[in-house]
Amino acid sequence: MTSSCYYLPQNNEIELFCYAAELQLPVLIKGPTGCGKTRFVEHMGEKLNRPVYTVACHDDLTAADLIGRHLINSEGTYWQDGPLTRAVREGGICYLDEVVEARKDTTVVLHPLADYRRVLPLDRTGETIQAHKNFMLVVSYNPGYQNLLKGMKPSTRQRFISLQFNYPEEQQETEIIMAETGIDSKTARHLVRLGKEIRRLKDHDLQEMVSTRLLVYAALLIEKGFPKRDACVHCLAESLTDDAETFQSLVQLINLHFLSGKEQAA
Amino acid sequence: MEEQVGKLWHSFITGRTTTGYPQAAISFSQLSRGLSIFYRAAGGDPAKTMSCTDKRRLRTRRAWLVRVAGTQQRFSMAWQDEKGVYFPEQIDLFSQTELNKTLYFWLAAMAAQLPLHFDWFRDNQIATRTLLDRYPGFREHYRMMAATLVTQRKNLICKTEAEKRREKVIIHALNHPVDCIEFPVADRDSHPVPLWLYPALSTQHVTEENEQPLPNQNTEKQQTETVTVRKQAKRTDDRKKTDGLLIFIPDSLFSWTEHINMDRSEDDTFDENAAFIAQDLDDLTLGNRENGIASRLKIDLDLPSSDADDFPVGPGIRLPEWHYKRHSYITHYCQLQPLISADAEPTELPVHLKPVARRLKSQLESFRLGKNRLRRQLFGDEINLDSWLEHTTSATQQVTGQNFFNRIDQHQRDLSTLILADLSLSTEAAIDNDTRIIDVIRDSLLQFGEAIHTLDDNFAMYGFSSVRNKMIRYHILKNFNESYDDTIRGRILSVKPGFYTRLGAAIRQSTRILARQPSEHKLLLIISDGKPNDIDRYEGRYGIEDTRKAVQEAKSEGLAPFCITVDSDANNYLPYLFGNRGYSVLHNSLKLPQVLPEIYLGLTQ
Repeated sequence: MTSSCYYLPQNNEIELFCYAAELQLPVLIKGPTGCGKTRFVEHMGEKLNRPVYTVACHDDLTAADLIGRHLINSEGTYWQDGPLTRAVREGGICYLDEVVEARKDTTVVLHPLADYRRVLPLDRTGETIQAHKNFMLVVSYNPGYQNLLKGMKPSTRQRFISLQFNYPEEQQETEIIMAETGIDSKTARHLVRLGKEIRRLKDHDLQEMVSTRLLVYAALLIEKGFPKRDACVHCLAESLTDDAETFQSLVQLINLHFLSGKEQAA
Repeated sequence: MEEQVGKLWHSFITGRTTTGYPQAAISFSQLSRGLSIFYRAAGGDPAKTMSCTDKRRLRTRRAWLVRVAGTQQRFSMAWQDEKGVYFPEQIDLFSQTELNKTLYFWLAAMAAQLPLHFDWFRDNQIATRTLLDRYPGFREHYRMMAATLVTQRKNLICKTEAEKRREKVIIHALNHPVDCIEFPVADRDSHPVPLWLYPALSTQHVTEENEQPLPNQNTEKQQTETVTVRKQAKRTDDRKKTDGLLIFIPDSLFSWTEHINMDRSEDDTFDENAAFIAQDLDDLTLGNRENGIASRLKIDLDLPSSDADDFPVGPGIRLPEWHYKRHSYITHYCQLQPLISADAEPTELPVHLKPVARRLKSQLESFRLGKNRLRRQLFGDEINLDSWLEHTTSATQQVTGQNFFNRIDQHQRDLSTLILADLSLSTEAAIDNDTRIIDVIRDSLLQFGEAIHTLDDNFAMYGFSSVRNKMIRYHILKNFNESYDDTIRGRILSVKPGFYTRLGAAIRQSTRILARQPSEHKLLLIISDGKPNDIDRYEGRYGIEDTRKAVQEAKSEGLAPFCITVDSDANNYLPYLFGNRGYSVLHNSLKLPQVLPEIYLGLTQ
């Protein structure tokens, strides 16, 4: 089946994901911001022909937001399934994005789903749902955020098969940017090389790295006719730092890539 | 009058022979931070430091007027070694500031591009080619800079055929950087090309790898003015007991530059103009003998006093150390001795700290415990829609159980903190007339203890100092099982500055202790006043790399290391050790006692 959702495999992740889907195992995806975690899950959803229910987790997410709740309409009350319950019932991929943001007591509802039982007890309705054979649980998080008091509970974590994502290699990233934006290969290569250089500053000068997503944004602007240098300044330098000196250095780097000497002097 | 005339003549004649554009000059200090970020982005080694280079003396051919003026004998040339990259202090070669500035960035990019040991002429050209390919932004500037330099070089004097041939090759290499030309040899030195990186001067290392140093090497280095530029230095073996032979060459006798191997270690007069002379010398010769009687006396007084009042706990602990050149651990290399001060009397909080402690306490009461949202409460700050919906949708709408609110409440945090304080001799340095760094550290520990005690958080406190790998003193101030009381306060008040800072070993031991704590979050808070250092090879890059390794080990154990320092130079090395969010530099060290609890709260809220 051809997929409309573009994804370029970096490693064996597609194969692993297919096996996990077949064997009904839950998957944990780790990786930095904007490296293609969500895109990968969507792509796999299309490939396996399963709907994807995405939940962006935050610290106020309750178990009811995942499972469902009673609602009222003109005829009385009715039960509304949450995204997790819907995926469990109908078969599909339930994708919890940035799962560490959710409170730990919320993620505990995942436990019976993430082991051999594959059941979801709904205490409000007294129902226990046996998961559909096509149900699959996928969670993701970014290990780079070092908040001392946040992290994944080890007991939750060790119920998953884990996949480590990273930013693609130079050649692959160039291909991705070209495929996503239709930009010419020369500019794409320049963007990727610039991205690679900025990534070297991680931990030392920058907290976050340039994501493939940001490079794609820059390429989109450039493809539409926005000046290359300005596109990079707004997509890369401004988005990554507030520190004036680091910003100046990034701009200098961008200038060297995308401006000729005359333009720089001007 | 004579002086006046001399000055006038000097400014006239040097003015006639100086070629730069002072109005467009740009100095290294204006760009240093940006340059180092750029260097790292371009692929440079993050452990290297950036600094100014000293001028090198070259025997170039000079025009008559230049010879009269005595200029163009020494040149600022960029170079690098395994520790750092060295730039000219100022660049004024071009009439446009923009070009002078670009030259700095160009040199930084070259340094990131070039291998360390190189056939410098060929590699400079390869690097130039690579940079021009990679950065279109350099192309135009390079063309302009090269063109200017070629024009300037046309005025150079070449007398012999070999020199002319060499000059031709240089100009060709500037215009068409390709990698196939041999650098021709000629009598005199060639005029340096500012666009290129020059090889490091070869230094003869006599004692660097020497594991058995001289007996006198324990002496503290004399605090002197620091000469900010990089001096060329060569090491020489002066360990022989006999006096050196003085070869009498009349015209070199009054010069400072020649090293004469003469034992004058008994000479204890300190030359007050040393810094000035150092600036003026072409190269400095370093001996292995320590001189200066004052410093030797100091260590003799310090050593025995240490063991007297501290009680060793257990037989000591062996720890590994990371050798960055070998890329491996040296196992059981460090001997760490936990100590507890035996005669520390239980003491109350000193009076001068009480007001601040009281204020902090009242501030912290509100932070006392972590925040937690309690759901389905009878009263609260916001409506819980779920419970209201459930109530409305249930068939029997009971009056009881109308818990429609959420309330923000506080709960205990699952956090352990270990504070590791640097108690090295450098903490004895004075901040102002009546405060030393050690006093500030002591006050901070007390203040912090009060604060964290108010918060009911689990914490321990240790201090450390070291004398080589064999004696790392690890002072127990409070362990996790003790409660914070007057005994602990007494112990904190009795801490004294020790010796040196073998930070890696202290971090490793703290990691072991903290990793054993059952709590989910573990914070390792390091209070320091300078770079890791010890009197053996544990200084410079070796110490930095070992500490970095220890920090990485701590991180992999699930600990969160964080460093608070009063060293204003710390921005140069702490990002490499702790990451850009892993440290905090205090510019006013007197504020440490107030700031420390704030930093702690910021980290853990």
